[in-house]
Amino acid sequence: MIKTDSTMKAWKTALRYVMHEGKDFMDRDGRMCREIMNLQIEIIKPEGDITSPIEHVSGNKDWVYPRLDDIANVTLTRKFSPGHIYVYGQRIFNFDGNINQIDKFVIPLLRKDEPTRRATVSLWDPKIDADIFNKEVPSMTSISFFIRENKMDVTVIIRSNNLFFGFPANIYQTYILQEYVAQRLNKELGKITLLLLSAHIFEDQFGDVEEMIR
Amino acid sequence: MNEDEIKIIEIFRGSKKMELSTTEIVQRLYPKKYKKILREAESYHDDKEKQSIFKRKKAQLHRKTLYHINKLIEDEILKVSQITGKNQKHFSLTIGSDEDIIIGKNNRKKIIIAKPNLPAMPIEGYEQKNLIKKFEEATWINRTNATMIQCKRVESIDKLKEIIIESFSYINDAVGINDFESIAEITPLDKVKNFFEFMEQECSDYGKILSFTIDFTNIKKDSKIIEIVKAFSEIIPSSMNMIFDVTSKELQKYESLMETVVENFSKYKIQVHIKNQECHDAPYIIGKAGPYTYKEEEWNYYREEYKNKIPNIICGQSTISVDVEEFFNFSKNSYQFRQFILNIAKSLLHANSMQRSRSGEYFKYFIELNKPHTTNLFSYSKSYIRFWNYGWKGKSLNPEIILKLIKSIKIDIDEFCNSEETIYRACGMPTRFKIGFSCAFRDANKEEFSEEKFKKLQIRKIEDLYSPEIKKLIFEKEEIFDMFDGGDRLRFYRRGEFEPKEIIREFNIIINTYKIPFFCYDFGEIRGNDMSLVSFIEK
Repeated sequence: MIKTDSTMKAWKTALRYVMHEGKDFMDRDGRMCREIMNLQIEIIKPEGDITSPIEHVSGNKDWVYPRLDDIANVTLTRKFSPGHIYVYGQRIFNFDGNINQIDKFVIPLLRKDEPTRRATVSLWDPKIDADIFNKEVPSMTSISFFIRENKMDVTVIIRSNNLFFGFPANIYQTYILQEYVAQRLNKELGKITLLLLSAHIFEDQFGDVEEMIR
Repeated sequence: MNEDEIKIIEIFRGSKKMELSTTEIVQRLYPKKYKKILREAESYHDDKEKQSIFKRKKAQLHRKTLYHINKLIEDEILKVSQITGKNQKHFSLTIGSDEDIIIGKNNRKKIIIAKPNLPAMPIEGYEQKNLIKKFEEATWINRTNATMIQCKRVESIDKLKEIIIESFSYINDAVGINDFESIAEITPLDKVKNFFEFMEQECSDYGKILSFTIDFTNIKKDSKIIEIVKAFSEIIPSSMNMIFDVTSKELQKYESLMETVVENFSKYKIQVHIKNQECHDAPYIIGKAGPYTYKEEEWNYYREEYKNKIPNIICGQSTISVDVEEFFNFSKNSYQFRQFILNIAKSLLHANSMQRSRSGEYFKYFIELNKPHTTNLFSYSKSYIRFWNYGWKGKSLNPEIILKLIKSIKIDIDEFCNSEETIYRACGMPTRFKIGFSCAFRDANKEEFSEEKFKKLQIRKIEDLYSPEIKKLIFEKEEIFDMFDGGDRLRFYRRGEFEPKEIIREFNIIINTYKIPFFCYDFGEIRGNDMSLVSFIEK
């Protein structure tokens, strides 16, 4: 388990850990990956430098990273977007076309029962995702909200996390949701815990990662 | 809505100015008439009587324009933005700079959609130098370039007509009509004729292209198709084209049909487009910007997985064309050219990302049409980089070096697209992003780009296809077809006297000898009458 007080430190530590301790394997598209299973990362004060990983990865001229507002929009949108295969926001706020898991469940539940352990949002839709031919399914599968010591803590399960390209956006998306719920319940922001079932780095990015963690 | 009113909206859309005076609108709405009046007024400037006639004619045009403007004001599409000296009115669209208007069903409904504010893109300097051009810049994001309608999913020609007209609000170049034979064969000939006449007029009014494909392997009644081909050629279409999707076997089987095609198309100087099905199965669409096609493996997947169930498949999203010759007049550096193309790819990524994130708003009709397959809207589409004066048959650039360079850049661009797909997927925004390379057509870029520097490929007789010069050019073109995965076209200028049978033999030779997926025979006038082949090539 990695436990730190800042987002950037957590990311760098996780990258270093996977690079040094991970096992290599070939994915379905024949790409070499280095992987650690069930990596847990706990960030005590993520909000202090929450966008730093995005800023870092956006600074490279070889690729274009999605804009901050686009990353936020896909997390909060209620709309189905035919231009994307799936959108997190729609799964969270408009699951199956009619279930708003945050406004109609998580927030009222936490308001009624602060210590609850039931405030969980599911992004995995078995009707769509449990299809052996469907390769494009959400990586973030569940998000749980807890009020502890009057703070809003969030725990996210990510079944597959591209640690170099995915982590910066995923941690920011989690923070956006944490802030959304905390504001409505008038709570302070607490910690974010990620459980990465497969934390991996593609071989193509080994050079970029090495440079970063050096 | 009257066609002049639609044109006025297009004038505002295409104008960089937000506000236009009545005179400016008249000049753009009736450019030829207006220029003619001015020219005549100038040449008779001493003749007072004639001057008053010209003034009257000018006033007539103004009144006619004002009539349409007032109708648009009534419909709340335009507004008077200011009145200057001599009661000169200035008009602007009622929508904001970040919005656009779509004229809905039956030209009646006005739908206002949000138009994105584009971020600064790393290509603006090149645009200012006319080295690149965005195709239909005003609707670069909120419309798509080309789409294809599957006739097998459309029950009647009336329904097809309705879909095409509705699609015009969502595309800015061409609509492909695939397997047109399946609908044409079950429709009375008179109705097909009326359909062609109506569509030609509509295409001309809306500035769109219709590209019909007739698949010879699906023909059931060739006698009917013969009549349809005659009807098509008799209207001498300028905004519609017909592609004959053939194999050498079908060319022989339907020889009399092909003879009719050659006889009629050559008579009316219409290009005959041939797609070699054995070489490339996916359909082609010919637009103003250039050709469009799908990737073979993706097309096969679509056919196997969806069995032609999706009626509308977007093919081309946004296009940027590049004047290669002009670029190398500024810089001889191939590294800079590589970076320049990469910057174009980055700009297309921004465009793609915006188009997708607002696709629910921009392409409502297409989504509705494809239900329940709504997530497949962009599953087979790509953005385009089109090349103009890129060296093939040219004399000022070394074609071997340029083509090698473009080929190696294509590898970099494909890698860039794959990386971006990985990044977007990792960020929980799975997005398809592909860039196709293709050629650019002259007409879409004639004001901005350099004069064409390549020679025309002319043939006068069947033996020309075996001449070393022609063979060399065709072999080079085979390689270009491999590189231009977004589609390309080999155009033969056919001169001299011929029998249709000879032309069909030439088609057979091209199909059986070369790996050319798509070519056309142009029977129109060309410069340098009666030039021999050798002197033409050597020119």
